[in-house]
Amino acid sequence: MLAGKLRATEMAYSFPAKTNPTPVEVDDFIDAARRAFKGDNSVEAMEAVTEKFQGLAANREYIRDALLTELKRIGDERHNLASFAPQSFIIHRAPPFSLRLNLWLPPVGSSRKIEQEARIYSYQKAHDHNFSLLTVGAGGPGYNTRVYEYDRGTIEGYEGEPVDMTHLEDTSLSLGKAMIYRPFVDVHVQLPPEAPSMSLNLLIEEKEIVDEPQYFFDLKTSTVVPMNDNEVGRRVSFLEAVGHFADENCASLLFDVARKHKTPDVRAAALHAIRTAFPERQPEVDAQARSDGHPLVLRETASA
Amino acid sequence: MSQDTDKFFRIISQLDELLIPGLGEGFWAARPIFAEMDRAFLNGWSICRLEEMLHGKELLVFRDRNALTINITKGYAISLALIGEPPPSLFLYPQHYMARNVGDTPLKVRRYRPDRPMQNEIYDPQLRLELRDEITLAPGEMVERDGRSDVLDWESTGSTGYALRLHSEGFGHYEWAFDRATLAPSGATVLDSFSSQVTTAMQMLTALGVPVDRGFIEAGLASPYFHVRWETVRMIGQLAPEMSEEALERLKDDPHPAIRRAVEKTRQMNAGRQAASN
Repeated sequence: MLAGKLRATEMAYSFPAKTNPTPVEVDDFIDAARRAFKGDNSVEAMEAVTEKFQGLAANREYIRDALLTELKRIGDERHNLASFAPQSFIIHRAPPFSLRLNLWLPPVGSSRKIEQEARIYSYQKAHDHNFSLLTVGAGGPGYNTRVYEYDRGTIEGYEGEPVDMTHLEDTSLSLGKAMIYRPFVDVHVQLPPEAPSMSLNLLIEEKEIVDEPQYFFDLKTSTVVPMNDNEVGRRVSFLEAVGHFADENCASLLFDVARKHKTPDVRAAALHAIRTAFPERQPEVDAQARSDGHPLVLRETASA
Repeated sequence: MSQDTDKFFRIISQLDELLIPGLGEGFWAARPIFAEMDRAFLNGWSICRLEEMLHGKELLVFRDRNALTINITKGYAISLALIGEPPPSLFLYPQHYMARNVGDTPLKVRRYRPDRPMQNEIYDPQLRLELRDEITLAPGEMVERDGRSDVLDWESTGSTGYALRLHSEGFGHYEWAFDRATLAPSGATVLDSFSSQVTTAMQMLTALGVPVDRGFIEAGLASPYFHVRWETVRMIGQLAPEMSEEALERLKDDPHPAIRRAVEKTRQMNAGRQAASN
């Protein structure tokens, strides 16, 4: 299922903090998640285990020990230069589930630090997710967030494309409170917390949607802003650069990518690279775009 | 395999052999290799990565701000910078590089240098940058950055420009930012990822409010990184106040002046509180 199920709602998927939650062990939580998840019902499964997840977040000794264990693992594997995610720790892996601990910092320090953290956390940048996310406040006052919903099926995903979003709620992820962000439905913008805060996240990897692009959204103009630093975005950036250095050997490979890649953004970027490097081959680009038929790819035709 | 892919692999192999970790100023011995790193090299890289993409392999290209990584090891890195409008600030990054304009249009490059000697670890708010040089880098031309003193400010006035860069290993822990108007420092950012994660974990543990073992605190106090020792002291204040005096005693002769000043200030405050309570 590409787009999550839309529902008539006026609020984000939120669950208030429990009074005196009973701490839950991680194995008990993962067992409950396995029982609830049937392969294509991530949001429903997350709803079913939310209370247990709030209990896991209340197990502070578990979080401490898991955090320090992960820190040691990272220290032992420092040769892995690509794994740097400075404010986030994966503290448990049990495919398709993973538990992640995120730190949220108020905007203090140098401009570069603030800019860097804003980029890492997508502060002030409205975005959707290509994965289901259950999150609970695990420390501090929690980040603030403004939540909208939209229908992924109504957009093509090109830069500046108008998108119809409904504002659901302004809220914060306070201690013990849980929220579910539905893939390709919920759009939210995170605002920094008043003091350092922490969230515990449950992610469920769903192979059929994880390769679909996430988008940023310009809330002032209600338009799509493609991401350039995620899995799809870095492929698109690479292909855009290739267009400036490609020779004939590259051209045939670019046509292969345009024909075979499963992601329309990548197919469109491959055709765009061919247009850049070999303007004389526009008729072949047009033919491939028409054969593809996806609206994003069709934008690469000469007449678009 | 084309000639360009052969060239790409040959150059990577030569760089792997030459630019080993700890080489320091020996980095500049790579000039003859960099002289060969041109658009054909980039075409070879493109072919290799496209083939990987088509075969469903992990794409080893990452985007960090406005640069794509071409290769990265512990001893060096190669990137393709996408040049547009200059960023809002100027940055002094402790890493040498050689750079070539591999795009189709000229690029403007301004070179700034500090007006006094500086140490990467010791933040000096009195320091100022001075504009030393402004050049137009034509397609194919190259420029070098001395990472101990040079701030290079790139600009493409038309379409996106492309600069191929060969970076040395880093030789400092902090990137300094400077205000573009006043040329004064506006902050420093931690570059070492693991030490940054250590301080993140300390902040998380502080937010969690749960006791931590002495070994973790000891490791923090003994860290070679100024910001880790600093964060350890803050964590102790929240999670293990009984260790505060011991930590202050250990850090009173810290090599970093900011920590020595903080120790002195904290001791004065503690003495004031003690006097008031008596």
